[in-house]
Amino acid sequence: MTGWLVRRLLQSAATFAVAILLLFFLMRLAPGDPLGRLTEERAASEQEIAQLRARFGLDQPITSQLGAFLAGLTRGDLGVSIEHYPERVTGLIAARLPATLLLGGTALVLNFTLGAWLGVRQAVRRGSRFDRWLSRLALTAYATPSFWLGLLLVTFVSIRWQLLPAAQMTDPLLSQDAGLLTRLLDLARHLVLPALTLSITSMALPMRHQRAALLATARLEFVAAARARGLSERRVLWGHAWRAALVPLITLLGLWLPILVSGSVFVEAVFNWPGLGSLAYQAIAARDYPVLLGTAMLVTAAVVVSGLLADLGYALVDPRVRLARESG
Amino acid sequence: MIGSLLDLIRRALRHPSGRTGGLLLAVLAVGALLGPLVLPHPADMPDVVAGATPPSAGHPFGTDQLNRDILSRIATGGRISLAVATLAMTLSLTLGCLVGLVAGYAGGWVDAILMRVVDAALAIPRLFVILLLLVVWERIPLAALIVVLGATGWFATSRLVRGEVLRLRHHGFVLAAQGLGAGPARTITRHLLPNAAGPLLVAATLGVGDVILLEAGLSFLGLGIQPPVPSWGGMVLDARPLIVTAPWTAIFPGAAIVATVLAVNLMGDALQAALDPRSA
Repeated sequence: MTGWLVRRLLQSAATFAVAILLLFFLMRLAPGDPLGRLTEERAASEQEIAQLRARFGLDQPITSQLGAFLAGLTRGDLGVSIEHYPERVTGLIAARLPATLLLGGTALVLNFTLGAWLGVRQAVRRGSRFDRWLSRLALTAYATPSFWLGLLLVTFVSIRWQLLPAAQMTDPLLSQDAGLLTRLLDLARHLVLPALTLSITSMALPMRHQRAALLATARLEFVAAARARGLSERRVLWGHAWRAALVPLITLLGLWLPILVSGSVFVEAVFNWPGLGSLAYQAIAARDYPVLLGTAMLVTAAVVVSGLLADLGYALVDPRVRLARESG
Repeated sequence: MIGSLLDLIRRALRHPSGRTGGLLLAVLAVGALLGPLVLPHPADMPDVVAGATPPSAGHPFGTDQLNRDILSRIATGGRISLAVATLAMTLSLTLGCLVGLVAGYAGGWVDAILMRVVDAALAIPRLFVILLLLVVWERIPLAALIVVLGATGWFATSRLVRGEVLRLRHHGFVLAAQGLGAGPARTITRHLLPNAAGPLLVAATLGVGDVILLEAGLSFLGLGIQPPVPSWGGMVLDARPLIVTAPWTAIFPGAAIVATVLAVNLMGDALQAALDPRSA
């Protein structure tokens, strides 16, 4: 197990390292210069441009730029924002991270509880009308652009029917000395629509995954054995089949995270949610490369780590995987 | 190879999802191809009266903020969306096949390096790669958009092709062909690719759906297809300021995206089921 763990950790580290190099060179591969757009908007003297280039290290050869970038990275420093100069990218990201974690976490919990449960119900009633219609519904939701669904929800639920707030994370008119409960309630009301949008458009994946996994385990011998022992269908389902079907669901985490992250860019842009997605969205408009690069890097790190965690979880939960790896 | 693919498609069309998806896709494709030719209002020509008007007999989907006919714009936008997605997917498929074949066929350190890079590229969410590539342009040329979409979509395909090559290269029929003097080019085109064609078609179909959604999202962020060329995502972006008073300006273009992506994904599912009946 230890040998496998070390190999897996090294592999993740290598993947992340190559990804960082890819991201860095990608940014430089694109035609033009990060400051080209900046100076397009207003006239700048030669001297001013030279100063700006020196400030962001763009006058250095690419190898020393990469060196400086990597050296900064080891200190946990992602450079300086162009738009919010002289603020550091890490500070900007840290300020936005909680909002994104809250939104993404809510969608994640919804998808892996409600979505997985629906998948189980579908598998139990496989081939029924319920199963077929739910599959179609999930596939339609999966084909729905999150920005469009978000806009429609804002238009109807928030503006026309005045049921829930349309944007932001908190009510700016809420008095400073409001109690904790009032604040939490306010936050929850703001969270409903963005979390629903993000969750609906990505729920098909855990549903399908759980349905397929349960159908696969239902064919296995231990399920038949549990039935033969006279256990109730409910015990067979939740006590035996479902527990084994949970294992593939863990691996889905690594697959699903990139979808969640990309979705949150659009959802946060629509709902003005003050998270990483809207930070990236604003960075696009301002051509703020360091911020975009920093966000992309953080997101990549999250994908690599969640893939690693999924593998670890897999090894911990499934005795067959664990044993195979211990002996191998 | 063509024959077995056609047979696969025929079987997929008999599947319930394939029937729905195929029909929907046919309607959308015909609408996009013929719509701009037969619809009475040109997509880019404002009507005499200014301002968005609700759906009516003359304009079944209403008109937008410049009083342009939304149905015509959806049809023209559909042409562009479908063309962009198909071209980008063709590029992805070509790149994925090339890299996968080289990695699987060469093996050794070439394979190791290529697959490390593919692993790393797969770890970066595609949207962020595209954002970093697109952000330099003030107005993105359509060709650049297609290249960027295509060049960021081949990583999974290359893995698939490599896997198929590794699986097939020690099969009797491949060894026999090589024993009879078939070179790498012949082995690849006559024996390896035809056997990988089914899984590739499934992956490509599902990939087209992803590209359509991605392109719509980029156009919504102002980074995709640039006005005045109509695009579904761009129409939703234009509708944003007037969505409360004129919701039809956003509803119909969005619905067009849903219908197209759904049709493509249904087709992809049916192809998957036809290829591997156990997976359904």
